Amino acid sequence: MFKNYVKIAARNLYKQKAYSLINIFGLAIAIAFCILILLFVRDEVTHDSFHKKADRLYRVIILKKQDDGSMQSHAMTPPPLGPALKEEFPEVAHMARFKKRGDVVVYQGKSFRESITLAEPDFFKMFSFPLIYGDPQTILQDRNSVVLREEVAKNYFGDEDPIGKILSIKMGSRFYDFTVSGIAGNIPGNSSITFDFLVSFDRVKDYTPASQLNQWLGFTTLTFIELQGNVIAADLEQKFPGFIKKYMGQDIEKYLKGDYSAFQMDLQPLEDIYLNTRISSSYQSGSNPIYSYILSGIAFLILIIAAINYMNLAIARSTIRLREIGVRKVLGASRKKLMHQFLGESLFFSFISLSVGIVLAELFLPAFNNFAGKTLSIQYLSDWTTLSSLVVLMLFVGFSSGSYPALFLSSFRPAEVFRSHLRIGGKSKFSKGLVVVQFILSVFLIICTLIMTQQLSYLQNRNLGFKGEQVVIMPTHGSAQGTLLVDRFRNELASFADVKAVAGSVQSLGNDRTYIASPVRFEKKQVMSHYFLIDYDFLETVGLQIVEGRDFLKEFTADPKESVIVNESLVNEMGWDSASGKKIKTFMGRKDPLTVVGVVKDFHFESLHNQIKPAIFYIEPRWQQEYIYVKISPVNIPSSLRLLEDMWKKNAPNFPFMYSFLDDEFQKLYRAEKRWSTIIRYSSFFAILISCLGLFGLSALSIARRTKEIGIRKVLGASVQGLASMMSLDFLKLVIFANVLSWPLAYYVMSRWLRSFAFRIDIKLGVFLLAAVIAAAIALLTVGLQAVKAAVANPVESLRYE
Amino acid sequence: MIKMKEITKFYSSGFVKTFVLRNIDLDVKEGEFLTIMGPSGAGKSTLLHILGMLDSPSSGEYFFYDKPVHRLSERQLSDLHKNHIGFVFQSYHLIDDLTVYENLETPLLYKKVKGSERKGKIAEMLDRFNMVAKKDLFPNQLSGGQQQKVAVARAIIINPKLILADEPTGNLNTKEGTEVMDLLKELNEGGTTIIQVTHSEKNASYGRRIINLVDGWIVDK
Repeated sequence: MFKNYVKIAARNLYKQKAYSLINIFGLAIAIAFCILILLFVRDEVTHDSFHKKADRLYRVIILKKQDDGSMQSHAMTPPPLGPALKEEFPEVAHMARFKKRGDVVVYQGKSFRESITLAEPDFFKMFSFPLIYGDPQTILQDRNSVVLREEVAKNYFGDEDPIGKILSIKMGSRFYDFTVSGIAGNIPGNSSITFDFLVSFDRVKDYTPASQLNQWLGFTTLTFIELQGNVIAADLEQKFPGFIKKYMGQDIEKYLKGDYSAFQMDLQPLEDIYLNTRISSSYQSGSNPIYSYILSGIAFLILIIAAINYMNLAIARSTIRLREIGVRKVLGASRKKLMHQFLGESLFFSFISLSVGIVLAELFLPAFNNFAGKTLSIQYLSDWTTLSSLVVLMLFVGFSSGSYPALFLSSFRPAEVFRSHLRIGGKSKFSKGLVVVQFILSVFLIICTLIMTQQLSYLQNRNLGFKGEQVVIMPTHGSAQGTLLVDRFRNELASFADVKAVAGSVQSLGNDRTYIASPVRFEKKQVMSHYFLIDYDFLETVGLQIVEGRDFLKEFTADPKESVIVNESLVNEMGWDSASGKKIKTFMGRKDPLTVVGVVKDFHFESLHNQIKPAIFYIEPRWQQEYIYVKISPVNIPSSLRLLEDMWKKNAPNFPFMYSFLDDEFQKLYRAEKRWSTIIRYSSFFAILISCLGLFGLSALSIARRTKEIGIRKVLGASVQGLASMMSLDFLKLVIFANVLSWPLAYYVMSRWLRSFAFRIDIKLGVFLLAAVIAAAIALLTVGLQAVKAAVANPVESLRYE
Repeated sequence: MIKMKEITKFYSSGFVKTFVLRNIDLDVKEGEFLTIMGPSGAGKSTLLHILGMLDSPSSGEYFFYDKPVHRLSERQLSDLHKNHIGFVFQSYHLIDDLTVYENLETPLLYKKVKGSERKGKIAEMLDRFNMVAKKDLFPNQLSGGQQQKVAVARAIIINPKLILADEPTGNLNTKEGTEVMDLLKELNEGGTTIIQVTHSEKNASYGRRIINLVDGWIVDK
């Protein structure tokens, strides 16, 4: 029996090439889409599960009480916490503290900015990072050793043996020599913990004073622990309040008036780290699980659209197959048997589509990886979940697309089939409903694409309050001579016409990791404010406008000691009429109040998700400048950059020359939004493509069914134009109806999305109309060509068959 | 074998009831060769479909071997007719996508006949109808007469007690028609009950009893 079905299915597939192609192609695209999304989602949810002891590894987190009484979780813990935990609790089998810093590595006279990771000896015992060379038990005990990741070693030493090579690495303000004594294999793409250069945790002393390392109220270090096999995390957590009292009690009494509820300690399972975005200050950026949900949702929608194609075409084609169904019933087929046959056929189709889909997925995988920033691959055999999810996918597609046709087609009574020429397909309400559903989804995605594109272009084109495209930012990499370097650049570049201005700053505008937020007090009023520690000429270099008072000037020698510039938001927040001369108290090591000498016009220093917040600007001679800002002329940009590089090599030969443009720094803030808009754009493209494939097939069948009608109408004097529009209109009506249904949905979802931006576009009716026009035009094109072809045909041809 | 009492069939579209069969009483004994005649639209095919359990009457009683067909479930009907009834149609109704061999095989598959037995039966049929060389051809590669022979072979491969033939020669030329009718006669002589619908007096003469149907009524000539 089964063989019989397969034969029929295969022969049908071959005989109805166009129909099969539409079905298989549509399903295959949808399946490829799903495979990629599934890979992505699986990678997201299985982050960090590759560690053999993953279920026993925890990160210690600290919950701090906020002003409003709520608890905010932080990943950073006091430096002495780890050793104290290990000593206090026998439940803790291993402990590893962990720190990361960006710093400079010099090899053979060349310098590079690298990410340096500090970790304790137990690190390799706890985590399953493969060591290609080196003894995991001892490797991090030696202060002068460094472990390199394989790929990094290759970049530095090529094919040479890296073991024993000497690298000079800056820790804090000095360079130290390190011997390469271990090579780590490449880290899986779904690891939250990554490292390039791994050195002993002891090196933290090189750049941190001992007082800070014993500080229980300084939160600067990640602490990981491994529990003994039989220990339950919750049991250990119950002992933490006592632990806090014992070790932090003194500080809490002294600084927090004995409020023991100010801190709480918790254990966060390692596998929970990646998708938990509520815990702040951590080295790796996590991922919001909502992305996985939305992506899965989109993949599911596309799959539904393709399954609808199959259903609709199968129903429409049933006229052709009715006779076979009737004959089979006459020959003794029960309804159940017929349903088996049609389900079998759809499974057969979905199997072929799956095979084509896998090929498509493999083809798109490199582009997808590139775009998602991952290194995904399809492991067919080594991993049973892949194989089983592919099978599940196939069954899902097969059953979802085959179930209705199976029910529908098996329901005919043979007598009806033989007696009359049943006319079904394309006309049934169900089919029309399915087409409407497809277009609701497609139009929804088109509207989202349009609105997201508009909002992104608004973000890119909104006046931020300064001109970033000509401002070059160069990091000084924590050089002990940062301020000196700024002065040298300023003096030496003064004579070049292409350089307009030079300034230094501790913060990098646009990079909120360098921002400092702290209160500012005026009389009784306290306002949370951003602190920008800047240099003379900074406002001019960046192009910020002074609206009241003046900029910092060299001739006012007291400026570095007592002057401050504020932004308009701060003035508003304080409720001042005039800012000049107001004395404000700051909380960053200045005992004396600062006098406001100027007000700078509000500008966006954060992404447009946020309102402009209060900010203050002052010169802090005790801090080294971290960034050099150079405003260059818009002409000769390459030669200006070359000039900067030459100057850099002369003045800071030990540090790598790196630069970025200020406007690019701000564009980086919208990376997630850009990625999403691209995803939605591709999704809407595929959705409309698959929908149109279905529409094409459906209209072809419907027109074929109406050949005789068309012939008769022509004989009666209908024009080609009239006939073509009559046939197209039927489908056009559905598309327009779908549009109307789709609009409120799209409006709701998009206004929710836009609400995350403090600065956003208004959703205008034009977008909806445009989406309608796009969908209608594509649909019309799909249907219209066939309609015209049918209408042009000679009526004698179509009537002859009667 | 067959007992029909007051069988009526109508279709209602909107408020209009169209009667196709009215108060049909019919008895058919095992081994009969019955011919149903009448003009187009008289309800001949509908009666045949009801006899073959492909359609159900609007009212009336139908007993097949004393089983009340009008009260059986779809499953029981399906069982009954796949074991006892063979159909031959005017337009053959072979499955286009299956070869001659596979068309013959299909009813056996639905009857769950075992593989070896199936092969034997099909071989026997092919041999009996001189179609061995054509077993791998598709229906559209055969002439009308050959197709109808396959259809007859397919109808009798399950050894039915009753063969229902709806204008079996309608699409055939005279020679082919005679061949098919001779076949039916031969089967009847072997004990199979045959009910045929036809316009042709010549075909009717193969049968031993004729009933005439006009506008849904059985009329005596």
